Amino acid sequence: MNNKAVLVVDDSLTVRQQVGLTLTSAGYQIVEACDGQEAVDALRAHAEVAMVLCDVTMPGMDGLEFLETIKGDAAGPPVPVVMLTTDGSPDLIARAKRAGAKGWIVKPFQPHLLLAAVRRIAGEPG
Amino acid sequence: MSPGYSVILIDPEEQTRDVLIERLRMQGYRATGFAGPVAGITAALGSPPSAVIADLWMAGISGVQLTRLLRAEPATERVPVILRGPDSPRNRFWAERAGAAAYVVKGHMGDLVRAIGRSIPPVATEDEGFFTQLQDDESTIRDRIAAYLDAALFESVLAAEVSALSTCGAFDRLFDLLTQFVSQVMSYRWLALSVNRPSHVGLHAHPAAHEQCEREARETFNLPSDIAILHIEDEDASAEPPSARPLVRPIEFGREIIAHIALCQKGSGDRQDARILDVVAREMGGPLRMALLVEETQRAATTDPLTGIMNRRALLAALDLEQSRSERHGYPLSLLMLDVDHFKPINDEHGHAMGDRVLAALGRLFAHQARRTDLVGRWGGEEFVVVLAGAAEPGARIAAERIRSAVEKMSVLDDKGHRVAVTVSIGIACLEVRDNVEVFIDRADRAMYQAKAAGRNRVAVSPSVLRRTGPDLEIPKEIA
Repeated sequence: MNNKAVLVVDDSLTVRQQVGLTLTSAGYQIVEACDGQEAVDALRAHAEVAMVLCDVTMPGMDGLEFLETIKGDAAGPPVPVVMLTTDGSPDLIARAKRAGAKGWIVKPFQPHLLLAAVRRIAGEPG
Repeated sequence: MSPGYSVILIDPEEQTRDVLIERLRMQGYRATGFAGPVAGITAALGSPPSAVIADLWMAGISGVQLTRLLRAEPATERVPVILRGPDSPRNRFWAERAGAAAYVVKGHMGDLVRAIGRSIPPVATEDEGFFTQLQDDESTIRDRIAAYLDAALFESVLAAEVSALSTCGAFDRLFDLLTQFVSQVMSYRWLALSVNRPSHVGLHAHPAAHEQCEREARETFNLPSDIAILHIEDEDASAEPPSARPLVRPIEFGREIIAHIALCQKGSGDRQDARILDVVAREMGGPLRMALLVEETQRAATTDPLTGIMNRRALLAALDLEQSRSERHGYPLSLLMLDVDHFKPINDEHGHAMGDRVLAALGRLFAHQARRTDLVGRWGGEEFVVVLAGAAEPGARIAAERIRSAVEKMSVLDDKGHRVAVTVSIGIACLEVRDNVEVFIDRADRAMYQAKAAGRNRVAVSPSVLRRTGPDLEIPKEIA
C-alpha cells in the first residue's frame, strides 16, 4: 500500500471519480477539490498531499492561477503539479511549464498513461 | 531508472531499427524504437528524451513537420532532432531551417552517432522533465502540425511585410506604413516606436484618446517633454482603456539596441499580440536603420556642416520652388545676400579656427532671426543668403536692418577672451516679373557690393523699375 496522497482538482465530479478510481486502485490516497481556491486550502490542510492533478478551466480561481498562486516567488510549486485538461493550446502549456508544472495531460486521458505519469513523478517504477 | 541518455528512434524498418538500437546501446544510449512518426511523437512528448532520430521522408508526417512540431511544443522545445535522408544539400538546408540539430545521410551510422554526441547537451534535458500527454492518434498530431505550420507561415508573411519597409527612406513614412499593417493583424489602444539617436518617436492612437495615450507612451519610454512625437491618429486604434502594462520590445541592429517598440493592448489583449510584436521587433532593425541612414544622408547632402544651415545646392532648390510659388500666387519675395566684412583679416589675425567660429555663430544667428517661412543658407565662403517669403521692399529693409544690427551686437570671443568685432554688408533684391533665380541672386549680389562700396556694415537695395505688387495691395470692394 501507498500512503502518498494525490490532490485531484476538477469542477467535474465525473473526472474526479475517474481519476480517483485509477489512482486508488494503484494504492494512492485521494484528496478532492472543485476549484483553485479549494485546492489552495486543501494543500494547506493535507500535509500528506505529495502531488496535484489539476484541471485548467474551472469557475473562480482557474488551474493556472492556482499553479501561480502556490508557486509564489519560488522556482516552482511546493509539490509536483500536473495539469489535466481538454485544452491543448501551446500558449497555455508554455505558461504552465514556466510556472513550474511537471506536465500537461490532455483529457480524455488513458488510465494506464496517467498512472505511469503519476508513478514517474512519485519516483516509483512504472 | 538506468543512467545515460535516452533516445527515440523512428524508422519504419524493424531490422534497421534493431541494428541502430544495438549500435546506440553500445555507445551508452538507451534507444527506444518506433515504426511511425505519430507513436514516436506521442512518446517524445509524454516523456521527453535526450534526442529524437527520424527520417526526412516518412509516411504521413515528414521529418521536417515532426521537427517543427517538437520545436514548438513546450515539452520538447529543447530536445535535439536528428533527421536522416538522402544526400542532398537542399534537404540539409530545409531540415536545419526547420530546427533540426543535424541532418545525416541515411546509412552512415558513424555520422549518426557523432551527430547525436554533438547534439545532446552535456546536462540531460530530461532533468527538466516537463511532459505533454496527447491523444495517441494521428489526427491530434496532424492538427497540431497544421496549427504550427500556419503560425510559421503567418510569421514569415509578417516578417516579409516588415522587411519591405526598408524602402521607405524616412522615419515618418516608415512608422505610418508600419501602423497601417500592424493595425490589420491586431487591435490595440496605441502603438509607439521610439528611436534612441537621433531621437524620433511615433505614436498611433485613436483621435479621442490621443492625449492620454501620449502621456502613457511618454511614461513607457521615459521620454522628456521636449522630445516631439509624430502623431498618427485614426480609428484603426481603439479608445478602450488599457488593462495591462504596455508590452515593450527592443529593436536591434547588429548587436546594438537602436530603438524600442511598445504596444498598449486593447482591453485585456490577445494571446497572439506578444508573438506578433516579437516578430515585428525582430525584423524591424534593418528597415529602421535604413530609413534613418537615408534621412541622415539627405541631411548631410543638404546641410552645410559648419553652420548647420542649408548648403548652396539645397538653397537653390528651395529658392526655385519659392520663386515659382511666388509667381503663381503673386506674393512678393525678397532675397538678402550677406557678406562678412573684413573676413580675411579675421582669418589672418586669429587663425582659421576663429574664422570658422565666426561663420558658425552667424549661421546660428541668421537661423534664429528667421521666420518659419524664411530660407537661410550658406552661399559659400563668408557669403550667406536669406530668402524672405511674402516680404516686399519695406519689409525686407526692416528684416535686413535687424540682422545687420544683431550681427554688430553679436559677441564672438577669441582664444584670449577678447571680443572679435564682426559686421556684415547686406544687398537686397525684390523678385521682379522677368527675374529668373540667377538674375535674382545676381541683383542681390550687386546691391551687396554697393553696400561694401558705401562703407560696409550697411544695407543696400537693388534698383528696380517693375516692382511686383504684393497681396497687401488694396483691392476695391466692388471687385472682390
